[in-house]
Amino acid sequence: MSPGTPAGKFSILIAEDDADDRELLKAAFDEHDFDHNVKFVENGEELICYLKRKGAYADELQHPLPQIILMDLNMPKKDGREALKEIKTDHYLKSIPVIILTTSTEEKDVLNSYELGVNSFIIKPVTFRQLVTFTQTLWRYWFEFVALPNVQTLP
Amino acid sequence: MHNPVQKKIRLGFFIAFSVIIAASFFSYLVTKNLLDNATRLNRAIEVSRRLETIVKQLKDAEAAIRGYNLTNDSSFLRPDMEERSNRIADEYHALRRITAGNPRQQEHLDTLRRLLDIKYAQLRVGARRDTPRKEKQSVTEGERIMERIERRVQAMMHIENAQLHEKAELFRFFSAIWVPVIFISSLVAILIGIYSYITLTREFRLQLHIESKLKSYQRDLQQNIMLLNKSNQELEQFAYVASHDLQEPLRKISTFSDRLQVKYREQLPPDASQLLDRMVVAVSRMRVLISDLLAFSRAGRTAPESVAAVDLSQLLQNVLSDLELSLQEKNAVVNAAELPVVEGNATNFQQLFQNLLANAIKFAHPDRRLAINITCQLLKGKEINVIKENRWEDTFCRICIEDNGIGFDQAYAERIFLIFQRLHGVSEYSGTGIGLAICKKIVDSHQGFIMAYGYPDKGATFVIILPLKQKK
Repeated sequence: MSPGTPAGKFSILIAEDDADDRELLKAAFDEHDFDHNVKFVENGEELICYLKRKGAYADELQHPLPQIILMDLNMPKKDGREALKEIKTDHYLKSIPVIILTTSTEEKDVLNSYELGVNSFIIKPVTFRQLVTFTQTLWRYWFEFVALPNVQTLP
Repeated sequence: MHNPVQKKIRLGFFIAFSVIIAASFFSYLVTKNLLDNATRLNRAIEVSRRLETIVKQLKDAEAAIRGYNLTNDSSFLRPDMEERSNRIADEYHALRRITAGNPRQQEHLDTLRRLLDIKYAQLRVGARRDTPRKEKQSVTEGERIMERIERRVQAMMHIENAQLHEKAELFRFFSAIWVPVIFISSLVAILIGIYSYITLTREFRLQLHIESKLKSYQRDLQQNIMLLNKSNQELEQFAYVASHDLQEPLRKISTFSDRLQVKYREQLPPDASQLLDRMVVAVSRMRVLISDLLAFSRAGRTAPESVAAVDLSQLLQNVLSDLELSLQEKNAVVNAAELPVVEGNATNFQQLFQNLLANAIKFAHPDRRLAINITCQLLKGKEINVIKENRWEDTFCRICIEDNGIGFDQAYAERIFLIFQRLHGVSEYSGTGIGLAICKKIVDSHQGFIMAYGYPDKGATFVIILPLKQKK
């Protein structure tokens, strides 16, 4: 896919428990003029419900599957590690790229995430300017260069 | 405390043993004496009985002959002389045998034999019918011989009695002291037995006491180890929390202040922007401190499986090539001696040398060319005064890293190894003061020692002592 195709807004689902970070990420994405559809969930459990269309997320049109998933590692209820494991062992969901965005610099977190099948492990930028650069890079990489599976055809 | 008790027990047993041996020997003597005495008594009785039999036979024979001579009744001669002499001979032989050990008795028996022969001759003459005339004479003669025989018999019986009497003295003596000796020796043996029992019981109780004490110490130790492990775990947890949860708000402070600067660039007066910048600098320093703290908490944490033989020479070359750029910047000369192969965690050792050499570079003297000398010595534990006795036989390597930098006052030699301790202001020399603290932690976790010697304005020497083999 390339930008400008009618199918799409480039959809990203972000699991982040921190309201400030949600706001900052939203602001960083809004700095760009590319067409985007950023949705937020607040923890791993909600993320899984969203992806499996359970509960409040049953409506397929209201809550379409994202093209990539961005998530924090340390979240309440279900943390990023469990959610990641669930996504990457799910027959349909495992084809959606998952990117970890966290403050953890623990080597074992990095190793463990890649072992579970994460596509990128990113340490949260510490300035807003870096965050803007990050979102820009993310978009350029995943939506300009990388070919993604068509999530709409997933059941 | 152990030895005297053992000595006492040994002495006690020796005495008891000696007493028992002496008592047994004495009992043996007494019993033997008793038995001898009984034998002698029996012999005396037998001798006197047999002698009496002989005398009786002779007297009977004489009386029978006299009766025959008076009445001419030949029935008086039953049993005849032959028979009687046989009986006497039997007794006589028995006497010979019984008194075989006594020459005087044998002599007496010889004499008795001769007297008996004479007596027999007389009796045979008396028993013939054709000699009535000599009757009177023969009676007197017979009496005389008979008297001599009886005297011999008396003499023999006297000897036996004397012997019996003489031995009886000894027997009386033995039997008089036998009872007290046995009593006293038994008493001594019993007392020693009781004493030994008491001593052993006391010793045993002491042993039990010591054992229970030891067990309780062991329990305490295990509990302390458990507590220590728990607090270590908590510390690690704390380090993780510090690194993660404390970083979060910091990151937000810097992100929001950055956003403030970006979003309201036009509206902000220049000094407000400057203040924000200083805030950001402080925050980023705080972040460095936290990540250093985390690095410190991680340093020296070596899993047993990560311990391997590390070639320090090779490792030092790697560190030097990593630092090549900054070494060139200072135009530094490095003299490195051959270093041994040491057991340990390679990553830790790498960090150790990296930190020490980076320090040498950082604190190079501005007026002279930096020279770093690295020397090494292999030493036994007992040659190094900081090593405890239980490791005197182990081999250690002492590595000295000497520089000609700005040095430091020896008064700070201990302090520089503490976390976040700095001798210079942040504006003079960068850093948080974590490097040497990490070095110390690494060396400690490898059962080694690190010391610093500073000479202000001349240089500093860091001495690392590491065991070649890690004790499990």
